[in-house]
Amino acid sequence: MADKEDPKLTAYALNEFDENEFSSTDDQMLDSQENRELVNDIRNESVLISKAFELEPDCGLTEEQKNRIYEKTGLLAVSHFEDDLSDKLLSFDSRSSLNVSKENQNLNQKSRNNHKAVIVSLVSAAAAIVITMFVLHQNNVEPNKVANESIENEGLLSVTMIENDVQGNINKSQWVSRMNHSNPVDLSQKFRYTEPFESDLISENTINFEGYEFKNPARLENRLSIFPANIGSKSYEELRKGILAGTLPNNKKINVGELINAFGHNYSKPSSGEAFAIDSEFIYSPWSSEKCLLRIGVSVADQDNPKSNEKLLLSNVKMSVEFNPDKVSGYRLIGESDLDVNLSVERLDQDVLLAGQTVTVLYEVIPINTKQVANEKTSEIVSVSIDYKDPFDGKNKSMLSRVLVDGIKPIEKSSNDIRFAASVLGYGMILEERHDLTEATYDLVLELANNSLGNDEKGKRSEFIKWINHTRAIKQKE
Amino acid sequence: MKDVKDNNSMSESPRVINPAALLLRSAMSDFEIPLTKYAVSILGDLEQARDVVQDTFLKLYKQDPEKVRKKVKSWLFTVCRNHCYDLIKRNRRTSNLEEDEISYITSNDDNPFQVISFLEGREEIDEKIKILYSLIEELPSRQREVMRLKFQANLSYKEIAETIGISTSNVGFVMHSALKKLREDMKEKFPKKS
Repeated sequence: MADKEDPKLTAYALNEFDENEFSSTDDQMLDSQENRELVNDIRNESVLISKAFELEPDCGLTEEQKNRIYEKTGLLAVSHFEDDLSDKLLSFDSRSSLNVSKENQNLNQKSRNNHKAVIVSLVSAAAAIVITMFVLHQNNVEPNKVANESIENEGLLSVTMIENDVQGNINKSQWVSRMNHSNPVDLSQKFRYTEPFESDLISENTINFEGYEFKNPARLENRLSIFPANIGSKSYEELRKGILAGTLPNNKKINVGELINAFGHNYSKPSSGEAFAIDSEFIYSPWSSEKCLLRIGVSVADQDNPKSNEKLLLSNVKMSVEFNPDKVSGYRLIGESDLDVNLSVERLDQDVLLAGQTVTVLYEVIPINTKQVANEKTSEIVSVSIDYKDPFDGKNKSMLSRVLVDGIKPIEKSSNDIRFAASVLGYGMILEERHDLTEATYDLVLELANNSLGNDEKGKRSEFIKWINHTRAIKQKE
Repeated sequence: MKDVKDNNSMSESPRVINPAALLLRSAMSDFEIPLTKYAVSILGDLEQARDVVQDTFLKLYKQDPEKVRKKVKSWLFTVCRNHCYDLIKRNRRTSNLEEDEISYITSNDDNPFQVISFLEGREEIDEKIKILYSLIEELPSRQREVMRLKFQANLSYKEIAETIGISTSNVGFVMHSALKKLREDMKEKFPKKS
């Protein structure tokens, strides 16, 4: 048994241990209960020390110094169009986005108009989106190792107090929201894209953009976004009740993610022999030139499918999206931030999909549009993977779908389903009364909804259009 | 707006940035604050620290991005550290300070971060973390530096070793001693209740 005082144990606890150095004697080191406790103590201690350093107020360069660097290097000014290059810097850097987002609204408006013109004129210069799906057999599925689960770490969540009691302390509140809403990190996870950072630089964990927090996928805990298999319809019921009664429910009670699902979608059925289909679509945002919308639809085979029967029920389902940090600087899962801590924990148990079921999730994504030589993987913006246990052969399987960089479509070429989802999202933004921050308006939302009716067999989409008009009328009375 | 059924799309990449600028931009967004804090911890002066960090970034831009990319973190901290010590040497020459006085500046009790006043009126902040911070401040300077690089700047043992010019196993030893000392001190301040 290794000596308790061995620096190796400390190194091991801090994940500094090179696997090659790990001899069988070292293996025995962890056989001792005492040593395992010590490892745990050191890990907890290291979390506290990181927190201790966070007590220091952030200090960095002055704006003047940063601008001097920009000037000297000459290449950091970033803009959609060269015409729009002004002395103001447009960049996806969190702080400068914050600073320029308001000042540049007019600029953005202008660039979007240009943008549309360019799109129309380039309709013929088109490339097909490629969404490739294939089934992978997943070997050796280990039980998930969930980080941040020690009792001491939970204790650290009490740092939430800082956010609640001290207003305006952005770093602290971002840290807390990371703790609350981040997915548990599976340490055995292999990632498709550039290795993620495991970082203490809390300020870079999320990007505050146009009033919403976007997760930075370069960070380990943000790399994967796990979305739920079952999404409730409570928000739909609440809103329906309210609108029938001529009032609007408290906007905190409305989860836009639930609303999007409540209206149903027309997804293509899985092809014969497949358990389900992934249908993804990536478009430029109708209301922000800096953002895109990613819709992911999952539909499970129903009884018509030869492979399924009425008992078809997929278990151990884990649906996740991996964002490529070289292409995406931030993302937010619509509806996720509305969930409180308990809900998001509970959600992780929702790992069952039923026959015929469809799930829709919508992400707002801030892309990085750098022109880099595309190789096979780096030209991907996101990949969607669904892990599940096959009900027939009992094997763990995985299905992967990906979206390539040139798969981003202008709104004119989008499907009814994503336009409708965008309309509901815009409506949600109006309900949140953030119109000072976004350009979602009643007219835009109506236009989107009117152009996305499709078959509308159950009449739900038409109902939604009525809701928009009612909501507008109710708001005007207020 | 029309419902166009085809899946055609256009590929456009309006932002074209050269690799050196890209590297600099991501380095600035990732390390501006930890580098500045690190420089402040050595120099004890925010203005000087900022100048050093600015120079460090400008120097990064002149590097071949392909060569630096893999080790950008330790590169930045090493260059920043060297700049800091150059500055201290230069200051020493101009002010003729004695060696002892220099070490007084680098382990300044008058905390440049003004954490004490920062903490006042925030009783809610976990007492433990506050005390831990003061204990870190009392550690020998080498241990403090290693702790800061590891837990604030998130450098690995290897990166720390490259930055401060000692061996990786030496870093491991310093880290081990520092953590052990802190653990013991904390146990003394917060004896476990049964």
